Amino acid sequence: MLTFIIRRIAALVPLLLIVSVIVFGLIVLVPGDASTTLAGGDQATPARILQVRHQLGLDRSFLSQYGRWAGHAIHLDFGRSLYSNQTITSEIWQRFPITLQIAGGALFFGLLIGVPLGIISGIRPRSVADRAVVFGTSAAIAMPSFWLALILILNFAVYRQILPSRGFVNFSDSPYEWFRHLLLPWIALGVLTAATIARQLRGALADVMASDHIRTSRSKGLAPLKVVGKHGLKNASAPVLTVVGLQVAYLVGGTVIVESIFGIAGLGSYVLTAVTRDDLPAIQGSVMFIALLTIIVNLLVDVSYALLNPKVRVE
Amino acid sequence: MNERKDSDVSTDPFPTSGDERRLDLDVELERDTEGVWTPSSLPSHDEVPPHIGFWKRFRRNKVALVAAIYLVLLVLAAVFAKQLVPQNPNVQNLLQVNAKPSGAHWFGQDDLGRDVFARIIYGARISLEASFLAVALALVVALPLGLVAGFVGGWVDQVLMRISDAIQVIPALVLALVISGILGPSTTNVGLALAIVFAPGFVRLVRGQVIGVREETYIEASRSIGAKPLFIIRKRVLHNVASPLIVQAAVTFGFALLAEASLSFLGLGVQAPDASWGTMLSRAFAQVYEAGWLLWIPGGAIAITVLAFNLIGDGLRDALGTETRGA
Amino acid sequence: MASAAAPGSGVARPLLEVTDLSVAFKGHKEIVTVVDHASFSLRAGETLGIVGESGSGKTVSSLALLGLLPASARVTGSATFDGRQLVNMPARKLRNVRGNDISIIFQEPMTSLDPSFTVGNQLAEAYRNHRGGSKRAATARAAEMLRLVGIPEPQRRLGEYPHNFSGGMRQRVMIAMSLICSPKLLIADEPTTALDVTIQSQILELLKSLQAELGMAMIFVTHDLGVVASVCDQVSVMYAGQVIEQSPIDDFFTRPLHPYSAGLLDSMPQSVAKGERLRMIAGTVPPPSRIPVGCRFNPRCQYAVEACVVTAPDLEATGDGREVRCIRHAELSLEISR
Repeated sequence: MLTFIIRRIAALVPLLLIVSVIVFGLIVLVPGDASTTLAGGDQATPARILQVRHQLGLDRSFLSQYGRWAGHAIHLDFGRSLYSNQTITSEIWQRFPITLQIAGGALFFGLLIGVPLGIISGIRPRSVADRAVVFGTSAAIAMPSFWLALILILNFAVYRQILPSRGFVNFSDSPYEWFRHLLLPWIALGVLTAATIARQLRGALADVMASDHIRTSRSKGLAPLKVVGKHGLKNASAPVLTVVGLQVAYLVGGTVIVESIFGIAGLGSYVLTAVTRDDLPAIQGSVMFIALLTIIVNLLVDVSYALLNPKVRVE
Repeated sequence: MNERKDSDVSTDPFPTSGDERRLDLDVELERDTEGVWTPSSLPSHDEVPPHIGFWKRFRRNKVALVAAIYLVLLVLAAVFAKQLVPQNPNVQNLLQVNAKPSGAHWFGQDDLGRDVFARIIYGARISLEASFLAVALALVVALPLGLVAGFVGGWVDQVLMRISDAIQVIPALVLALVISGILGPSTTNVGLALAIVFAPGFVRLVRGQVIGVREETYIEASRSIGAKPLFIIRKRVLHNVASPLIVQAAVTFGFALLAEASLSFLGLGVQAPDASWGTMLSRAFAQVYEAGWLLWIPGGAIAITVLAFNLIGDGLRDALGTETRGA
Repeated sequence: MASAAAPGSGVARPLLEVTDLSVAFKGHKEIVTVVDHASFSLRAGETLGIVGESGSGKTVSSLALLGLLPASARVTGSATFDGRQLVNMPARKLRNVRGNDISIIFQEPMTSLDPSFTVGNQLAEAYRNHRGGSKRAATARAAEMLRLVGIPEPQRRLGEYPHNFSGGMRQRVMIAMSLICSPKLLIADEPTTALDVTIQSQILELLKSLQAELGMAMIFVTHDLGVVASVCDQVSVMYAGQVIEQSPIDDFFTRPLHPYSAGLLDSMPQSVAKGERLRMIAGTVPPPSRIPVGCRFNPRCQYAVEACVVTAPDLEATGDGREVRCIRHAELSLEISR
């Protein structure tokens, strides 16, 4: 198992290298003269342009620029933002926990709703309940999550003022307010996750339930709860796990828009702010950080996959 | 068929039962994908005879057909917007701000008194344009790359796959946001950014099909002497790549539309005063306390259109009998 | 022949008495009957072979006994096991029978074990499900069973997953699991079909010796008359969902009553002289939706007369403990040329 994990981690090195080249290479997309554009375009003072040029090392060759950036990035040092005096890394660390709470809560919501629906649907395909689940999840998948967020605000914060429409409260300050503020973002993001998980589990469970070994379990005289709960779910969990891994990337992406709608200062809104201000170092740093995050999640998924499936471990 | 194992011949009294699979279960109980066992002699209700043409099969799927009709109408409306819609989408009428739907203004008027129906139709134009640009561009880039990766293999394939991995490690919306943000806000840039985001998926798909066909064909060719694998491959790849690619393109079109709406909602797409569905939503959201109902129409338009693309994808998948490998 | 295990007297009540068992599947439009009034019985310790081609209904009959058919199946008739009615038995009660009084092993050893749990876990689970007790006791019992079915190093193998076992070994594990609660009846549904020839005979020998040792009854579902000859006391031949002949094994092999039985025996490679061509029955079993009028076998029968096409024959007792479904059985003499 340990060698399995080590081998997986070793395989990530070239991937990280390519990701870093792509992320750093975003600079070639900057229109016009990079230092002028990044300094604010037409309104930029010559002094500011020089400062930007120097800070980003734009007077050097691309390779040496990349080398310098990557050398720092290895230590999770992404330099300083063009707009604040803080290091990008410290800004990311301030905001990351908030995003983690949003995305994590949405994932939890997705599992909480998606798993039971998937089970109901998967053990009796084509039943009335199954058809209802399929219909509901189809609708949920087509529903843009940001529109869902807006509709939720309209109904729960504007028409009925039950929940706040914006802002964030730390859990340590008030668990109740924390929950009230995060509930709508969780639902807005988590509905798609729930639908995706339900769909995947439905398919996987239906396949498993039709398999020979489930027939064996039934022939042993096991109760349905044990047949489905033990033998069915464990075998159906691997494909679901894959989806959960993919959902994490979606959830992190989704926080960009959800944080902006709910006025929450997390990692997603940090990326958005950086983009709207042409703050290239902040863009590169946060994107690199997010990529690293997804890579780690994928690794965790791989490892749990191996834990669930004894065959993978051997290979 | 005739490759019966010796072990069978020794004791098997039924040499006529040819197909080995029939020994599996008595009444040919087959487990279909839904997990229900049915005797295979019963025709399954969604089974379509293979000899029927594509169009006939597609038409059987009523839902996909409705979705297709909706999209055709939407595209026509977008193309002929000027002829269809008398109102100018950008003309303001500050006397009728946030007006509810009426006979003259079917979908009402927005915060500047502009006709929402006209803006939806003109907005469709922009949303569809950006999505089309994204999908078309992604296809143009990905098709040759996927073919090369699949045919050439080796390090070329390795490099292309690792680059695809790397792009897909960055969440799609984040990547699209960053690229279009750096390029500067415009519909074209949104299309470009989305093309980069979607291209790896297409590359993977094409590559997978090519490799699948290649392996199969070589096996067959080695059996029947004298077959020229390359010639067969070329013919087969075209067929095997086209079908899943069309399905994938339809579904991706829906994603593109969604992403375009998200980006223009965030202010990165088309710029004021021109409308896209995303910018209409962000304007409506700014008015959420005064005229929250304005959220329903552009949002509904996005949801329905995305759903239509997904349904068409499903319909195409069934009609083309697509089987996807390694995507 | 495993006649050694058969009890001497015929006075004892049968362990399993199946009468007019029918199984129908609800299709999308029509209802399809795949087993039609099948009847057979067996006494404790006895082995019954149910023989037939694909589509004869033999597997469905055996699955029906334990209620293992999909929900779309409708089972009617009677199957009394040890004084209890199995057909439409409430699910809870039926679960007490499954794996406890009646066990079943299947054709596909490669897929019949859960790939995600160790063999020991699956064996212990089967035991504790009916007998309760500690995990440790169940594991000890599991090891004992593995030893019984001839798996070396049982203690170590308990911790391994099914994919660590070969097909033959997996079938041994299945057998161990099915016997862990000492059932009175074991249904073996083509247990050797998916295995290599050498392994086939090993598994057959194992089942025979286990039966002698444990004294259980067996139903052997198979298409292979060679297997029937080596393990069974009685044989029921099924064709197109019906039992068409039931005979003690010796009578069956020397003097079959039904033309179909004769055809089966004739097509056994052992019954053909060197250099002679293998005789086979022309045609295939009709699917449930296209059952011919009259005798179901008539289109393939070389002895068919006009009456066979018109009247469906009943299963008749011939008086000497045999039953046959053929109107011409009395006039035909179907000696097997050996």
